[in-house]
Amino acid sequence: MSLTSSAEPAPKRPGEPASEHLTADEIIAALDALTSDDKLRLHLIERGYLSGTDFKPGDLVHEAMSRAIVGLRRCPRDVALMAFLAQTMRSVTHHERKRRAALRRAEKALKPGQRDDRTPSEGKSDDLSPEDHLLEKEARDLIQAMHSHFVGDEQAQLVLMGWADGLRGHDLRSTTGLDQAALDYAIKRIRRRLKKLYPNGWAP
Amino acid sequence: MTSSKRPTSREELERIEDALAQSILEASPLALREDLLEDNDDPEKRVAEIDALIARAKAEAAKKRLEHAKLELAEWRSKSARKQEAVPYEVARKRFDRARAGDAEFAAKLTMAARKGEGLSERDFEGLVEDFSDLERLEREDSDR
Repeated sequence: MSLTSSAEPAPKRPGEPASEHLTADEIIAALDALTSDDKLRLHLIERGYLSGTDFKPGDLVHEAMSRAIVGLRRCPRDVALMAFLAQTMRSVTHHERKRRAALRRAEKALKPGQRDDRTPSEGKSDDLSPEDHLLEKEARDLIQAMHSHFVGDEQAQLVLMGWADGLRGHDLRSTTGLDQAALDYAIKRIRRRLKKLYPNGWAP
Repeated sequence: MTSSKRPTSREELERIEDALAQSILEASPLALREDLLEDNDDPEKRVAEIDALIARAKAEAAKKRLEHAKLELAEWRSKSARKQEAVPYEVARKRFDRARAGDAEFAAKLTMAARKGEGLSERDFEGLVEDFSDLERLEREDSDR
């Protein structure tokens, strides 16, 4: 399952037969069967997604597991539970970031003398909401900052650019000119460097 | 010629985030531990924390399921009791007639209404008998408490 999938499964009614999705008991059995490595993966993924939210460490993993068990999000049978939990954490995070941006925007609008001076023509895209503009600026700044941390590491910069363009696997190797081993090594460098630089998560 | 919309910075950042998450999903066990040990983090402590979260999520879900089951049972009992209490219409009607016979004022009002052409239809009457039957049942339930 790709993490970029945005399909939101419909809430499950208790007792409803789940032919295409895992039942609550099956989710629990799958959670019980997670390996220590899987648990470390959940911890590291959560740590990356925590930033820009009010969640505390543990909250996102708990939220993802709870939603899966009670059926608020249904795990398709053909999707690995780990990928499903990662996708759920991603989805919860994105929703929370958007909510916070809207809140900040509203607070700013309420403060005297701090009205939004941006004219529509200055907006990069007119169909973006004010909170989207705010998130857009933060994201742009962060991507620039990420690239600046890899000055002198051309391979890492190429991988970051490829990721930003949505490239993975063969396409990423082809675009960056790296073989799998070199790509894996570059990815490891990026992951560890960003973890050090942004200990509370990857995004603003 | 295809026109592809340029992704926003947010979309680009989300893709980078997703790629990082994907790289964690695909990382070897050794690489995962190295990621943590580099920051003097304790992998075993992290595993124990996730174990505790799993236990908590399971306990909360079990509690919710129990509460749901209790609600369903209460609903079933209530429906079942209503069915058991249902009295055949003829019996209810006789009881109603007996009660009505003892209420001179009510009987007089009905007679008066019938003379004016405002009497109860058969359907009105059936409704009245059902209401009377429900009232009797509620009174019995109150006295049982």
